[in-house]
This record gives sequence, C-alpha cells and structure tokens, in this order.
Amino acid sequence: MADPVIVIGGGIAGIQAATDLAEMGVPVYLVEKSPSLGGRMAQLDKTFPTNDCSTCILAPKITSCYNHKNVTTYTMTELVGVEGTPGNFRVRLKKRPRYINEDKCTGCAECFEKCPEKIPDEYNLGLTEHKAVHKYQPQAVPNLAVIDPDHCRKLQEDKCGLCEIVCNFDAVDYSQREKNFIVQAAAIIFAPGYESFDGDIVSQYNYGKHQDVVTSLEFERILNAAGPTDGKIIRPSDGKKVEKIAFIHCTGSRDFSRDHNYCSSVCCMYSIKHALLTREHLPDAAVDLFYMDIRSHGKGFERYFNRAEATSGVNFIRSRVAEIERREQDSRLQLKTTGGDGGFKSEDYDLVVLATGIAPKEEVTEDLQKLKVRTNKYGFADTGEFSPFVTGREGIFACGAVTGPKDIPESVAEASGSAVMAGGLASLDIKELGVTEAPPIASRAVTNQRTRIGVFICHCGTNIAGVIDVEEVTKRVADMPFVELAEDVKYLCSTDSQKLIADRIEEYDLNRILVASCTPRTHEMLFQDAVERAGLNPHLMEMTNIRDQGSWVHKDEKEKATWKAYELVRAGVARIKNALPLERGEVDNITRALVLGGGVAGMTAARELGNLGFPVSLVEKEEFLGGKAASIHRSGLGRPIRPFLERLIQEIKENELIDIYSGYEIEDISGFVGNYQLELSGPKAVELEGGVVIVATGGEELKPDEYKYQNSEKIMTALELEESIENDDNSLSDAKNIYMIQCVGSREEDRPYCSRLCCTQSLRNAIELKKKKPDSEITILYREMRSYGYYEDLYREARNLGVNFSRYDLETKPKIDIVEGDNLEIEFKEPLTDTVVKDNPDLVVLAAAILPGDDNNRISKMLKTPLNEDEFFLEAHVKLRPVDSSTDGIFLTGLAHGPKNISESISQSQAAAGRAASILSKEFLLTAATIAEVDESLCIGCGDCERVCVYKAIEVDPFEKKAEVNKVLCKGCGNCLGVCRPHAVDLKGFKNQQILDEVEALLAKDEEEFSKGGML
Amino acid sequence: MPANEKEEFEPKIIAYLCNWCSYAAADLAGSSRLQYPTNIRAVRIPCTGRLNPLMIIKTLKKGADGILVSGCHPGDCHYIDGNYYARRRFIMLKELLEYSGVESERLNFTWCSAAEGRRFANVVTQVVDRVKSVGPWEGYLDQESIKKLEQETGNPGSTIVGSEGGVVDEQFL
Repeated sequence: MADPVIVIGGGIAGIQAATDLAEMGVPVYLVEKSPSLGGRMAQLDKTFPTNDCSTCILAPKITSCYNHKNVTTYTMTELVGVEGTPGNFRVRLKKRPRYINEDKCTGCAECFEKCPEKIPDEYNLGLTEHKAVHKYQPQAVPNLAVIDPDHCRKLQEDKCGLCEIVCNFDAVDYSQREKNFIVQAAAIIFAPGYESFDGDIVSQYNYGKHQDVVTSLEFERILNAAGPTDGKIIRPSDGKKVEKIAFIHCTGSRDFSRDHNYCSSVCCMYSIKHALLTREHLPDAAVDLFYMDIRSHGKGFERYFNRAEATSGVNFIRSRVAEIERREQDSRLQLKTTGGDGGFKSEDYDLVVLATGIAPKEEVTEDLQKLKVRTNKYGFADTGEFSPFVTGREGIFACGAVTGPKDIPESVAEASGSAVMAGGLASLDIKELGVTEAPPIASRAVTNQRTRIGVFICHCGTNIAGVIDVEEVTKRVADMPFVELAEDVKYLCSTDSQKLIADRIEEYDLNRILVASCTPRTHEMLFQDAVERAGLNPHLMEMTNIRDQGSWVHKDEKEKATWKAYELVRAGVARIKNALPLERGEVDNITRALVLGGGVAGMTAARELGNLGFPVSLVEKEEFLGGKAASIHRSGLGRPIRPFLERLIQEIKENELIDIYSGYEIEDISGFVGNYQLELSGPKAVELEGGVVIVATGGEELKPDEYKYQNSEKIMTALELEESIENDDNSLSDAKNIYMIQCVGSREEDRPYCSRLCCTQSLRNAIELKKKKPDSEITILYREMRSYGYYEDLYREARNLGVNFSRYDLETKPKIDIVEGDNLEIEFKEPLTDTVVKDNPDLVVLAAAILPGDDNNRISKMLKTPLNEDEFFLEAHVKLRPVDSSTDGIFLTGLAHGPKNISESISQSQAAAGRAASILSKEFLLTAATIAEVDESLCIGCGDCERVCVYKAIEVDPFEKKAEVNKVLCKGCGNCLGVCRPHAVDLKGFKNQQILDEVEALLAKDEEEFSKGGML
Repeated sequence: MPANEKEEFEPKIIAYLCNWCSYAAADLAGSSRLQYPTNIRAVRIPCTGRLNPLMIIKTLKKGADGILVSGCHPGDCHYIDGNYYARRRFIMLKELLEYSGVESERLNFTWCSAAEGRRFANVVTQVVDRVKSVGPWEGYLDQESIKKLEQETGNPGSTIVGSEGGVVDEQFL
C-alpha cells in the first residue's frame, strides 16, 4: 500500500486532489475546517461561462470523494503543525467539537425544529437564520448536524437540552471536547482556498450601512433558488422589486493603495454572469456594470462577454464609482461616477453589487508562515512559475486560490497536478496498484431461484411516520406476491438496522430487497453495502423515496401521503422483482501513456508520469524537442525559459521509462481507454500502444496580414521582438519611438477569442525596452488591458516607467502607412482627448493571436474527441473536468487546449498527468454496472444509437450490422434507448420492462382505494 | 362531465425525473419542506434522454392522466446533451399526440436544477392544475374496444383493409 497523503481544505481543489490520489491507490486524509465539504463553490449559484448550476455539478463530486474507500474525511478540523520530512511528515490536527456523535447522527433534522435559538446562517452569509443546532447547508456532506456552542443554551447556560431529548439516536453529546491528534503523511497538499476581499467598501461604498449594497458572494446566495430569497432578486432592505441594479467591478482588486494591486481574475466574469442572470430573473431590469477593463481572458469567456454586450438592458460603463449615498425620499442608492470628461455623474439604483476580490485567508497566511512555506508580498503561498505547486518547503504542495487568484477550472487542474507531485512521494508501487479496486463478489445465488423480496419501511423517527401510516403500508405490502417479508423499522440507517437487514436476508433467504425511506441520492450506497455484506449483489436492492418526496412534501395530507407511499412501495416491488445481479466487468489496461507533442506541455506530462513510474511514449513531429518554448525566452513574469527547458529535455531523455519518437508524424490513432493504438511514420514505421493519450500538440502564432506587417522590417510580432531583445539586435538600438498594437487577429469577428497572453507579453517587452533605454517612447494601443492576476504588477510597473497607454475600439483601429521609402506613419484616435493622433514610429510591434494547431482537425477526428468553435480541443466539462476530453482516457494540455502561457501549460500538463495516472495505476479497468446492452436479434443496424452517443460507446459493426456496446466507455445514460426504434437496446438497472412494471404498479387500480377515503 | 365531479377529480401523474438535477430538486423541495399536491409519482431515470417516446405513450395507455418529464437545464446535462435530445423528441411527440387527440395539458416537459426545490414544487402544483383542468384521461383503448375494432376493420397490425391476417405487435398496443 502506498503511504498516505494529507489534503488540507475540502473545497473543490481539495476534493479533486483527494479523489485523484485515492484513484491512484493512495490513502488520503481530507481535512476541512467547516462542518461540510464543498467550500466556496458550494455557495455559488451558477458558474460562468455556461451558467451551469453549481450544486448540480459539484454535489456528485463531493459525494464520490467522501465515499471513496481511500479517503478519510475530517471535518471541523484544523492544522496545528507539521513535523518531520518529506515522505514522513507528522501532521498535528485539532478537531473542534461538533457536539454531535458523528457515528450516530443520521442527519434526520428532527432536533432543528425543537431548538429555540436562532442564529445567522453562515452558509447564506448571514442573509437568513437557522437554529443553534443545524446542518451547515441543506446538502451538507457528511450529512450531520452541528451545534454552535456560542449560541447553544445548554452549552452556554446549562439550560434547554431539547435536542438531546428529541434525538432518537442518542447522538447529541454536550460533553465533546476539542481533540488533538496526529496523522502520518508522505506529502501535504495545501488547498485552503481564499477569502473574499473587499478593500475599504465599508467606508467608500457604505457597505453594511446601506443594506442594499451587497457583495458578489451575497448576491450569489440571493440568486440561488435555495437561497435566502428563494432566488428572487429583491432589495434586502424592504423586499421591494429591483428595477435597476449596478455592479461595481474591482472592489478591493487592482487597488495599489490597499496593497492589493493584483487583479482577482474572476470578478469580471462573475459580474457578467450576474448581469446575465439578473436579466433572466428580471427581464425588465436595467443592469449597469462599472468596470476598468473587461478581463474575459479564459477559454470561451470572450464569447460570454460578447453575449452580455449584445443583451439589451445590460450596459457596460467604463468608469469608477466614487461613492454611494442613500436617498432619503425613496431610499434608492445614488451612485456618483467619474465620467469620461473628468466630471461627475450620478444615477439611482435599487441594488448595488460589489465585485469583491480574492484574497488569502488571514489565518492561512499565518499557517503558511508557521509551516515555513514562503508567501509572496500579497500573502499567497509562493510557488515557482516553472513548478506551479511546489512551495518553499519540500513535500508541501499548494493548489487552488491559496497560490493566487484563479477560477474553478484552474484550481481543479492544479489540484490534479499537485496530486501527481504528492503521489510521487507516496511511493506508489505500480505492481500492487491494480489490487486496490477488485470487483466485489456476491456469493448468494439468485438466478433460478424463486423471487423472495424483503421490504423494509423506515419510520425515520417521526420524519416519515409522523405523516405516513407506516404500519398500514407495511401490512398492505406484506400481502403482495413475491413479498416474503415486510417490516417497518424505526431508523433503517442506524448500524443496528443494517445488521437487521443482513440477518433477515439470511433468515428468510431473501434475494431482492426494497428499502422505502429517504432518497437514494444520499443513502443508496449505504444500503447497497448492507446487502452486499449479506452476500447479495448490491443491484438487487432498490430504494423508494417516501420521505424527501413523500412525508416531507405532504405533511398536511396524511391519508393521501400514506396512499401515495403504499403505491410507491408497491411500484418498487414491481420494479425489483425482475432485477438481476449486475457485475462490473474487467477490461485489461495497458499501463503506458502515449503523449502527443514534445513541447513543454507534452514533456512535462511525460516527466511527471515517468517520475511516478509509468512508461511513456512521447511523439514529436519535429526533430528537436521544445516546441514553441524553444522560440520564446521569458516566462509570464520575465524569468528566462532556456535553462528550465534544457533541464526538462535532459530529464526526460535520461528517464529510462520515457521513449522519445522525435521526427515522427502521427498516422492513425484507434482504440479506447485502456487500449489505444498509435501508428507513426517517420524514420521508420512504428506502432505503439497505451492506455491513455495526452494531447499536447501545441498551437501557432498568427502571422498577421494587416498593419502592413508583410511590407516592412520595422513591423514585427511580439514574439519576434522578444527574440530581438534577447539577441540585443542592432535594429532595436535605433528605435526610439515604439508602438505596440494589441489584439491583432484576436477578439475579431472571425476569431472571437482572447489570446490571453499577449497583454502580459507586450507589457514585459515594453518594460524590458524601457529599462534598456529609458528615453525611448513606448505607446501601447490596446482594447482591454488583460494583465490578470499578478501580471497586474507588470501593468503598474510599465506605467511607472512611463509607458503610454491608449485605448482603441474595433471601429477605430489604428492605421499604419509606409511613407517615403521605409518610414512608418501611424494614425489612431486618442479617446481621452477625442483627437486623431499622427506619429512616425521607428518600430511597430503587433501582439499577434494564438492559433490552434494545423493538425487539430485531423487528430480530433482520429481520437473522436471534439474541438470547440475556435478549433482548440474541447474539454469534457469547462469547470470540473478541465483537462479531460469527453472521450475517456484522452487528456488535453497546453496550446492544443487553448491559449495560455508557459506556467499555465506546465500546471495543466501536471494535471493531465495526474488524471492519466488515476487510470494508468489500474491493472484492469472496471466497467460500470448499469450500462446499455444490445439484443442482436432485434437490432436492425440503423446506427441511430451511434449518432446520439457522445461517449462513442455504441457502434454498429460494419460487417455484422449490429450495434455493439463498448463496456468501458458506456456511462449508462440511456440516450441510445431513447432513439432505438426496434427497442433493441436496454439499460441494465433501468430496463424498459422494469420501468414499465413500476409505472403499471403506480397506476394500477386497487380494490380498496376508494374505501381509503383519500382517493388517488 | 358535471362541474362538481371535475373538481373532485384527483389525477395520477407520472413524473420522469432525471437522477442528477430534477430528482435532486425534488429532494431539495423535501428537505426545504415545501408542500405540493400528492398526485405526482416520481420515476427515477438516469437521464431524460433515456425516455423512448413509446414509454410516454405506454404510460398514457396504462392509465396516467398526465405526464411530467423533467431533466437538467439546457447545458447542465450530466451526460452532456441528453436533455437536448429529450426536448427535441418530446416536442415532436407532443405535437403528434395533440394531433391524435391527447390534450397538451397532459404532457409536460420542464427543467429543474438541483438547487431549484422551489421551482420543482411550483412545477408540480402547476402540472396538477393543468391536468385537472382537462379531466381524467380515458382516451386510450382497453383490450375490449380493440377487439371490437378488430372485428370491424380487420387486424390493426395489417396494412390491408379488411384483412384477417397480419401480426399484432403486442408492444404497440
């Protein structure tokens, strides 16, 4: 067994890191300070740029992480200290008392109602209240109550004690004390997240004083359908309808005076999201956004911004808000803004949302310093540009917002990347890895046996039994055909009841189990485990939801609810009676990675996998390694790339596990996860095979066809300028008057994406030139300055050095002419003075767009993995699966995936390696149990199923003309069933017949139903 | 139908809910203790894309007074685009069924995200009202009427009018 790794922080980054490590076979301790996993993302309503519901995408991830057998979760636990050395850390932890026995509490919520003490709800940022005994959030994981000791009457004054009295599990424990303990870990991943930073909004914008001034996070809760206002956008002060709403960007960010000069990178995007969602909620509302630059530099972000710009009622106003006053007469908020002409304007609003920034949590900065982990000047953990997760202390890795402001996909990618780094220290033993996931064995014979169903109906204390007559339902169901036993139980989820189910299976020789209780979403796994322990295949257990969708929603209609419960149980019996045991199949896995592309992205992925002990074949079409990085010289923050690149090349050449095929072209790729074949042509024909493919085929810099680029030596691209600076070219020594034009070929109609790195590249070049020759005149003509994150420091430095900045629009692009031989003339509109300026530059530098690789189309077809509209490779999910492609076993990194700088490519490649390792570490792959199956006698080979399957998991055999399911790839969505005309495809676990049986039982007329009074 | 009888009519409505969004929304409605009518019977399916149109028809045939299909919002599908297929299919089917005399109030398609418990409760309330407004569903043929029809027009499975032969596909009855 590998050594354990500890992950500090249970937000999305921590969850991803823990899951990846656990999948690699590494035991993980996941430590979370609050009572529930989920972190900041759990508080968000929707996510940009797809407006995906945050909970919908996050909740399954949390549950699968929490339930992973290699993950041990400690909630309400904090880090105290770390001793020891990498490979052998002793981590001291402190667990705050929950005052609830975690083994006994079932999250039934019975105590909440009785608790007399109301307190502000932390999860809803105090916008609403809950009780002193409560759940941190409705969908808390673990699903446990917690008592706030500061407000509990029992703990404060030794009165009350009601929760203990009403608890049926004896789970309330006022005597709990703080617990200190130590865990051993080979490595530490630090992912404690961020704090929302608001600068001086209290004094400047009267936040806190005016109730209708809210922060962006508060607005997320207001937008949320499960939030304090049920998703209604109303004025918090008086609940009145909002007609006009303002969003103020950069509150607390890009604020030099407050020591927060950096850009928080996400606020522009989430404010655009807020604007769009506001219009969705209130189609008549006027939405104004006050901003400095719109920084929509991520993948797909520019389109989102364009969409918002085109939305009527949404106005982008480039202006700073000076102050907010509340008007006495109608209590609306008056915003004073600086106009373009230097004067002030004022406008009234109902609600003002402050786009607060990302800052390191104060206590985390302290923790970091305690751990001797270097922090940067802003208090974030300091990591290297070429080693993005490595902190100043060996064996401790940092990911997510603790290393700097970033959005969710970057945090997720970093988490996978740090999982790789930590996995390297956990002494993975590949030979024993496959053992970590052996398929379960169900011993009890089921086929050729008479169906004997055991029905267990839960009272859930009074949660169910308080509304539904559970005994009555049990009595009725007991008489049904196939039902061997029907039993009602006080609490089915308690440990005793689990044992009871197992005993009954033995005693009555039950071979199908129906549990009527709460929701399968939270408890299916528990009951599946219970029947499995009794030797029954877990898919022979079904759940019927009579609480969340029964007693809780019909509490005033007891008879009808009872009848409904009976019908649901009856339908459950009908459904389970034909259930068959389902096994997860085993498929051989080739534990070698195929890496396409020998640039920094490909080499980094290869190196990480090689370091973990996995064999890698790396393919590069050029004779040399290095890709684009071979022609660039400086990193985002200006560090030289050459030495790093040389070291990287040397490392992968020296690693015996990495085979390099440079000078080889990709001819064909076929296969699927666990079994890919790659054909190469080159010095000789080569055939390779591997379990995963990492696509790192790179991109290109645009050679512009505008601004007379082709016509003069004095006009060059930013990359060419970088080369000249590095070589100290003579051509530069004469250049005194230099113009840089941004967005050349980007953010235009036929290429509507932002190339992300050109702004920082130009700033860096300008700084470099200005330092060499302070008397040179440099002007940067830009559309939006996108120096996101720490790169804002470069913007500031450039301005301090005297670099001029002038903004232009797509309609007023600068013009360049060649006059009198080889002299240049530039003409542009200066927006501040609204005049047309003419000048004769010595040098014009074009910030040219990043283009997708020429080969993307061809490779995408071979891999059957899609490209996005801009022809970059498309990730499986823009938020939570940023380096996975929609095809299993294919991972994306570097410029092949989208424009990004070298540091971001490295981080993404380490992530791709991490994701790949979680597959490579298995000797065989397990197929899902609930997958599609084809009845060949019915299949007509029409191929409709093939067309709708996004996973390419079903294909018509060209010779047999019959559809075939690829068991590894099938996710069990059942889309193929929806289109199959001869009904030849069926879905295990959700068979047509099972569902029809269920529906029939639901609709069946019962002799007694009229006599029941509550006719349904 | 007399007005008072219509008022007392309690429809049976089958709700096909996708596991990832709408089923979660229904659970959230429960944990938020939102109340809605008891007429709804949820059937959990992995994705609304799994629903074959025939399943909807069979549900009507088996005696449901109304149907609700609820999946993830567009773009939120756990299986990428199953809900888009479902939507397209459902629109077609609905038009076809309307043409053949099934009131549009009986067929309902919507989306609820996992955070939209309130929306789910509202949807159910609305759907129940809609179905109530058109009364019980008696439009399907029971076995007896089919037999009668067979005698009159020959075998419905046959393409030749008056023919006694042909195969009746049980599945499509």
